[in-house]
Amino acid sequence: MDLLTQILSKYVFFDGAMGTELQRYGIKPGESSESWNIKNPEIITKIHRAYFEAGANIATANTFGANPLKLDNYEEVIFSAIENAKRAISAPEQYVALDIGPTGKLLAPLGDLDFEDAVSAFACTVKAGTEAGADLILIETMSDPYEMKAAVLAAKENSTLPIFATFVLDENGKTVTGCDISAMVALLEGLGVSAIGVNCSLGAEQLMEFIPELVASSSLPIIVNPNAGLPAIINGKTFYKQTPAEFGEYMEKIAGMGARCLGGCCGTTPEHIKEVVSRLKGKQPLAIEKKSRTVVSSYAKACVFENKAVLIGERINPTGKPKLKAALRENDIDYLIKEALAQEENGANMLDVNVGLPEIDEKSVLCQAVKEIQAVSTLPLQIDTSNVDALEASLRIYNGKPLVNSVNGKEESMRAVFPIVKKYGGAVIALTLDENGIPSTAPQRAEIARRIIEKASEYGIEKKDIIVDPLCLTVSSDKDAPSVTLEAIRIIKSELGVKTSLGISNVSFGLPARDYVNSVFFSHALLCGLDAVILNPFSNEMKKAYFAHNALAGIDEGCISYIEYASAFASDSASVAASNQTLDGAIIKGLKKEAKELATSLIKEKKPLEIVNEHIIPALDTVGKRYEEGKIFLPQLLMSAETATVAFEVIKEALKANDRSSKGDIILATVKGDIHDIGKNIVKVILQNYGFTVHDLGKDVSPEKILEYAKANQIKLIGLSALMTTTVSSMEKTIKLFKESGYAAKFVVGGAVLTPEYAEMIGADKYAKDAMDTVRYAQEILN
Amino acid sequence: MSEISFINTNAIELKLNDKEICRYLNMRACDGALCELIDGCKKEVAGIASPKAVFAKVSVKALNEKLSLGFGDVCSKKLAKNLCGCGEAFVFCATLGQEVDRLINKYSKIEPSRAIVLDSVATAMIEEFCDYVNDILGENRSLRPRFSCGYGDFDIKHQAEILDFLDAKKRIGVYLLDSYMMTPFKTVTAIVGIAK
Repeated sequence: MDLLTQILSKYVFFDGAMGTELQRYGIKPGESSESWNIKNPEIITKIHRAYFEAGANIATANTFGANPLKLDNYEEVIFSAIENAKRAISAPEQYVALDIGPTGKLLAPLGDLDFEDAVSAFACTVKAGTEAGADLILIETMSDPYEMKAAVLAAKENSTLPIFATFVLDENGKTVTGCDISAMVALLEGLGVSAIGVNCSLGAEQLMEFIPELVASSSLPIIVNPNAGLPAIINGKTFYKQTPAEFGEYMEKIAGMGARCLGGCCGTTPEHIKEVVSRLKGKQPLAIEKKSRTVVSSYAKACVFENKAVLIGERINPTGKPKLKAALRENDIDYLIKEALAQEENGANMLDVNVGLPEIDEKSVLCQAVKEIQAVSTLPLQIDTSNVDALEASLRIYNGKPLVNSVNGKEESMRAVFPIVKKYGGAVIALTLDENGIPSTAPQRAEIARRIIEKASEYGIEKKDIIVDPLCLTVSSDKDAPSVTLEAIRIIKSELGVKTSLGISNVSFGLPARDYVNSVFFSHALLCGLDAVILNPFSNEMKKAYFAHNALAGIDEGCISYIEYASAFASDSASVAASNQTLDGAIIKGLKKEAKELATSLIKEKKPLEIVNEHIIPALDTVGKRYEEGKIFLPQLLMSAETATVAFEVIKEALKANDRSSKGDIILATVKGDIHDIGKNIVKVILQNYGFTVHDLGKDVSPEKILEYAKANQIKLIGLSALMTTTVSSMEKTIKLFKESGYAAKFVVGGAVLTPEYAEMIGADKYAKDAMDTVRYAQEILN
Repeated sequence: MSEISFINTNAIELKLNDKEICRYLNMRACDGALCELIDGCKKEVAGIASPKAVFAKVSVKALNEKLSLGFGDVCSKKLAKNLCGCGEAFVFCATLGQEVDRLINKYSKIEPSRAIVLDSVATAMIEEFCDYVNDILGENRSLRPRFSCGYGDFDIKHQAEILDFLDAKKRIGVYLLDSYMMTPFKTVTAIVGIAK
């Protein structure tokens, strides 16, 4: 019986700690345990043998940290480690796992390790371990779902061995990066690993609390490898105190909750494992229940398609949105981020991301948009593109289990999309159209859906991961179109048993007051059981329909969500502007809502440029001066700047393009090695307010990238920000690189640890103590 | 024998001082709209921060300026002076968690005024949490002031040893970047001498 068959019919036992045993054999604090594979192979084999004799089925080879980021001789280490473990095998049903632990570095954007660099590092380990003859790959002790994904991808791409994956929970039942159990399960099941679970960090007693949720959300065998209680340090060595008997007692309870693979982590010994095995050997484990939940996830949380319809925000799609088109052409990703966050704030459960414009490099912009949105939003994304390369690249770097928009019944579409969905573990929206177009009857659309589901299963994609969109055509050109769609929802749900989604707004095309038609159609669709809708989260009519439906359908306990929505809605519509307030005053005081209303009414009386010159600029000047005099402070300066931006937005459409010409271009970047860019972002807002065009290159930016960008766009003023003394050196390198290249530019630098003297020492032209100081310098250089 | 012990608390329990927050914002005091903003930010940070700390007791062996502190050897006159006469010390690492970083990053893109207030609130909170940890460590004993790497001549490179020693990555999610910056950003490590 091979391992994967065995795991389906009975308990499988992992071994316990390697480090703890090595301490027993005299490893010194700070000495790498992997080095003992080569130094003391017979001791390593002896430890593995002891675990096998205790009843373990899987020996975890001593390769936890054997990757090129940590060890230069990782290959040699892996080969000897696998061999040491294999030598210990003496009976059937004994296997060796290639052990893969975290790289020790945090992945970008919160850390400084690039996703693909992580994949490459893991790939090296996987290749060596597979070649050395491991029976399975154990990816363990992961606390970041993104790093987990990198490791699983590396394993899938470089080996055919079964993949087992375990992660680390804290006492709140999340990973330290904030990922909950359901989200991690969605990611791992999507990627197609063979068994999942938890290890390390907590003892069996503390982990017990989280096992039921793990079992309830997964269809895979569950692994539980806890520590022997919590650690203590004696003479610089770490010890764990739980006795084998105590450990065994908890593990027996955990097995009773439905865990299938049991073993230990830090502090557990062959005696601990022996205790677990003797309590469970010969007993029949609980059956593994297959779940049919449709679920997608972000880095933090899962979105389950059940009960209430999932609201998918449609605003990040350039079709019919000139401002978004302009933002995409100018690579203004911040605009997309603002759209994303505003939709999240307005109740979207997921966000559709479509950046398709003929004149941009969709692949790179889509990847950038996905990364940047995921850095600030916890919502799962629906990746919307017909460009297969862009789809693959963005699914690869997506942090979580994505939803793909979309596949359809055309052979070509399914052939292109399904392999990618399968590889990267997504769910997919299936449109009921094929080579012959969109059928006019509901049964025909259901028939296409059935074919898509069938084809997907050939690629190993389960029905739960297909969400059918039966399409809705325009009622003004075909009076029966809406009822065909509604009928299709009913048939597809009842006969095929899959979830459904719909882009509603097409139904009202060509009609006035489209929101009314959309929202009533939405209510009808909800009554037919619609599971998800792509909508504009700012549409109150749609939201009214949604919250009222949930209350009426009995899926809003105590009508709580409805009441919350209705009361917020009522207070929102009240007018906020005080009668004697002026626009200048609102900007100076930083009152955004008032400024918006005042600008809206002023524009009826005055020309846009007059408003800018007579109200906005003087107000900003007043604020700037007060700030420089120390009468107001940075938060107030920024509040005024943001309020001025709100007023600008209102009059922007009325302004002709050349009415407010740029005062000049400046590059801003937080230098290489530095990932905190709040200071740079503050300077950016103030510079923009004063009319400068800011090219924001982001954070952790290499000197080469800054030079390349400056040259390509002929920009002569560069602002650099650094927070730490350790990253000021990157500033110096950047300035040096420019000087060596012969490209003349001025440098203004700022940041917590900088001083005028320091700035001069590294060759900067100007030390700016704050944002206003930067503005004054830019005015001096560029005006 | 010493244990790597764990402390956590609900962020709402940490009482923040408005004066401190204003000080981090370089302001003497605040008025109307700003006070409202600060209040809103306090609630928001308290809602997502997850204050956690790990600590261990180590013995202090001093030889001239070289100190042996359990996690490694440190050459620092200032730290030696701070720990002078202490036979033992606590080493701790306290953090507010990654969600605070994400929140500040988010607002620095869409509303920088809120971002800098959130940042100052979070700074006040991590300081308050360090005091909270200090109070627990200082029960029935007298402690020296906290001393962190990067202060004076206590080389910031020791950050790596301290975090490894406390297993801070695995236990409370604190990572060190190549630039010796810690993430989550609102994280403090410190040595606290136990006065005899």
